[in-house]
Amino acid sequence: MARYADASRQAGTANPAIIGLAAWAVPGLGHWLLGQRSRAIVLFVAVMLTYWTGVAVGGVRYTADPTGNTLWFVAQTGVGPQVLALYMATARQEVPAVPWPDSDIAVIYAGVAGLLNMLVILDAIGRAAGADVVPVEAPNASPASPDGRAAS
Amino acid sequence: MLNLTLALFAVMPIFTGLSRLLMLLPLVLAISVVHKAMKLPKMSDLPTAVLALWATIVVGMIGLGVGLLVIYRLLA
Repeated sequence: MARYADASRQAGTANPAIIGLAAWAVPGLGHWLLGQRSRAIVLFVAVMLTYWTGVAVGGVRYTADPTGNTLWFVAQTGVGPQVLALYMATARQEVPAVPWPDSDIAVIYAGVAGLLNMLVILDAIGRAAGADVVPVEAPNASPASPDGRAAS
Repeated sequence: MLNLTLALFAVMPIFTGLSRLLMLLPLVLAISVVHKAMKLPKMSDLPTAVLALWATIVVGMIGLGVGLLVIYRLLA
């Protein structure tokens, strides 16, 4: 069972579907809407930096290529609509011929960024839905009664 | 400078040898940051936890690689 200790987190106060959609549209936005601003900024920077590092290393046209790297492209779509926008913007350009061993770093970076953001989306949805939320207890804390008060 | 930046997104640099291996480090760092950012109750603990996880993964992968190389050499 997942254990969280966020005092700011309140179960059932946000629509999980909207939070999930927001987290997909912009990495970290789901956490931002839940009031966890610092967590959201860290997640946004980590995911976006990883994805754009991949695009920078591999080039836009090669990295966002659903025909040559189909499964990796599916993984990349976890980063959000920017992947689809990149593909549509460069779809008419010719894909550079690059042997796979020389180009896998770019595709892996972008794909891992998408997979990481899928985890971030699931985490945001879980926080919004209040799934498996229990307060973190101190190792030697006395057992609490159902209303949250410590047992005497 | 702008041309250099734009060229980065259009021309693919080739990574070989050590630079290819070093590209693993930022990727592992990103994975560590995202994992710990989701799991930690307090974000103030993030740098220490990320560094520990990053080092653990890198050292573990190096150890795994060395171990597999030793086995390969022994069997060869």
